[in-house]
Amino acid sequence: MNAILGRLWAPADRLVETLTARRHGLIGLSALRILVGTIILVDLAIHVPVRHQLWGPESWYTVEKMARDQRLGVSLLGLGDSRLALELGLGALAVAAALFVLGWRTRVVTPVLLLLLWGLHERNPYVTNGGDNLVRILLVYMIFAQLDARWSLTARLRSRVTARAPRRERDPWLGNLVHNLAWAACIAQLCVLYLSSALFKAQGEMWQEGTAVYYITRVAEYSSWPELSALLARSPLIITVATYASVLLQLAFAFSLTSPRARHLVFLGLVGMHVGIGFLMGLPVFSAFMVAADVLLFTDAEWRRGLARLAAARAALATRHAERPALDDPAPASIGGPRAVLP
Amino acid sequence: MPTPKLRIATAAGVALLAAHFGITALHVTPVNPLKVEHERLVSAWIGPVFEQNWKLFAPDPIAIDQGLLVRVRDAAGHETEFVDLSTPFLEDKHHNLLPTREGYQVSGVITRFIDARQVIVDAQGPDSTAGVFLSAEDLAAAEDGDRETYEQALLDLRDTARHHGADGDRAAQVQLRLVQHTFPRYSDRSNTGLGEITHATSPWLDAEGDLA
Repeated sequence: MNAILGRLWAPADRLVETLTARRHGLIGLSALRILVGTIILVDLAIHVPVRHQLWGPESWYTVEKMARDQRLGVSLLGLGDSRLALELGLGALAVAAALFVLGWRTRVVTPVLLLLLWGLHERNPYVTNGGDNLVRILLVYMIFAQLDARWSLTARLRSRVTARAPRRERDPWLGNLVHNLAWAACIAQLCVLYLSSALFKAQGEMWQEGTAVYYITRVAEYSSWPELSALLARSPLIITVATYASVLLQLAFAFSLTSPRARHLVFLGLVGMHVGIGFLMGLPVFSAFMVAADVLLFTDAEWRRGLARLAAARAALATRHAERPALDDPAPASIGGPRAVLP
Repeated sequence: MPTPKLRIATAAGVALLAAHFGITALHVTPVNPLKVEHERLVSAWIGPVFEQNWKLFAPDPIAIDQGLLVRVRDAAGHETEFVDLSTPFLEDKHHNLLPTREGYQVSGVITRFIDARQVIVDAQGPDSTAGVFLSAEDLAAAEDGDRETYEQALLDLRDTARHHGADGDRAAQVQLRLVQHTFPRYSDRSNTGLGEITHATSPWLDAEGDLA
């Protein structure tokens, strides 16, 4: 009896062990942090010239309309309803996003960024889209995760304090558990997104018949480069493959998680799709957010391998440059000498 | 071997996540019996925070061009010409790597109006003869919630049109025209010209306040 229970318990215990003994997805989450913060800043920069029209008191979408429509009914940018409130709000958002990128006190900055960004969305939902929706939800989960493991001010400080005994909690299991659940939540959210998106597409006649991409790229509003869209439309192969691939890749996302090769293929496919959408359809920020979220697909081990390869390539390039004879040197010492062997 | 404390905490955390995403899944899926049965639980749990919908260009991707024109009549009775509100925004996005979202202030409102209208038209049945702008009879027969949504959408359409058109400030009355361009379908894709163009004009609407 004990043996049977032991068999049942073993996988459960392994789960407990993996969720409490160490933290997963640290590098991916750090990358996501930097990407999301940067995209928010770029998005703000793009809209600085039109900020009054979108979110200011001169906007056609008045604060009264906002109160009428939104379930929250309040937005930090709607408070005061003045140009000053707008500038302060946007300035605060920019500062929060910048601190987010730098990875400074993410436990505090993340919820602040969430509130400010959400406030911006609430102020005028007509100019929001799926990418904003996703980022808002991911930020909620990210509050509970460790985002500053890499490429952050906190990480830099941490490495300088190694001599001094770190102020660690006696039992890190709770922090690990909460972090891992938050990381799992981000991934689960992506699964929900792609699965439901694929399900809705599968219901549509144009998606089933392989013609949807033709219509989407020909609609004037989403035709930023109509000559290119027309070129693509000439090929039934491209239209059909693009249409079916969109559905199948999104459907495959959730089920590809357990196999590294499948995951990487899906990642490549989705990035291709998003880049196409961002470029051809004039939705660069939306696509950028989606690609950013997809980097969570890589485990820490895969990230480390990838970064190591990158570092090796850069080192090899640097060595090659160092060994190249100077152009004005009359008697270069290394002619015929040993060269760096590139992998 | 993990302690009981760790086991319990992990189980609780995983259960919470499973519950949350189970409800989230119900929230995002197309209509199904489970979703209908637990509608109230789902909206209570999801709240404004986790509200989401991933109907991105699906089930039916947008397949026609829609534009809004507006003309105004001032207090003295002088009428302007119809002004095209949509084309300037389209031109902004043209060959632009980093376009702004300004255009959605018109196109998004058009979409919301069309969707609100569609709900009422669908309720009328397959042989509905309703125009793009619904008549008083159409609205009287509609459900209260649907009618309110439609009237709000029309109000927003009027307000965005007044704001983005010229002479909006001096307007006493506003008239909207929705243009729909059904460009050549896939079977006719080599035709890079225009397709069928239809338009619908609203009655003259009061420039301010609730619609009569």
